[in-house]
Amino acid sequence: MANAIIEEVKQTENAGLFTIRFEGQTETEFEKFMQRFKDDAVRQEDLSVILNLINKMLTMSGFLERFFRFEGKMSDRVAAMPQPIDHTELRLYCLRLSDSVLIVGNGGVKNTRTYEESEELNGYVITLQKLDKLLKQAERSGKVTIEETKITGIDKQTFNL
Amino acid sequence: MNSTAKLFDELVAATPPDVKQRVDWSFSIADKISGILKRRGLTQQEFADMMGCSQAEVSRWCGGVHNFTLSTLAKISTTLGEPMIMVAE
Repeated sequence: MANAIIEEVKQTENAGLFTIRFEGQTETEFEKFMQRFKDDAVRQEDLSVILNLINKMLTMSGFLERFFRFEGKMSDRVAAMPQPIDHTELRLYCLRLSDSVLIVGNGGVKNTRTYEESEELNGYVITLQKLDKLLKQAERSGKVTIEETKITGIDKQTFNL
Repeated sequence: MNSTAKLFDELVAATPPDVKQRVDWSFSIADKISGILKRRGLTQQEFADMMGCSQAEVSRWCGGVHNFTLSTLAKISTTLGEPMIMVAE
């Protein structure tokens, strides 16, 4: 368990993109994902596809359900992107809070049938499931509110994940 | 600008033009299919039945990064009765 905060990455008219930063770490979870695969000869193109898809969602459509594959449990908002495509095993895990608000976590190469079979990927999903649970509590208590593309009050919250 | 956004922008800008073009086309086709289904009140399952494929396949087409083959696009176009692509002359 470690403390984490939610940081805003980008805001557009259509959408707000956020990520997680664990206490004392120099990189956010999304940065770790990008840094890990940006110079990987095999996965570089898959990373570009994911980042360009996010950019399209930010600038054009918002984070519509159809762009995501829902992972985790029925009761949570954990999702993976992209939808499965041929020869692409790179997955980025995230919390889709609405059509306009997305929190991206970390991800990796899915070379098992399900994410649960991979200790690494399962860990990323569990982190997001914990965050989702704590965020829902914070939403219910009025400490944070999802308003259009923003998460109001999120800058004052720390989450033990 | 924060360091995550800076890295994100740098990597999007450094995307090879052919990869960027592929995502642009795939995203546009996904939008087009989704828009037609919505306009006609068709679910993905109903469209899958019309196409003779699975709902999971239609879901992938609408996911914004599918690498469509010409035969798939031709079948989608003829099933929906609307062009999916226009070829520049």
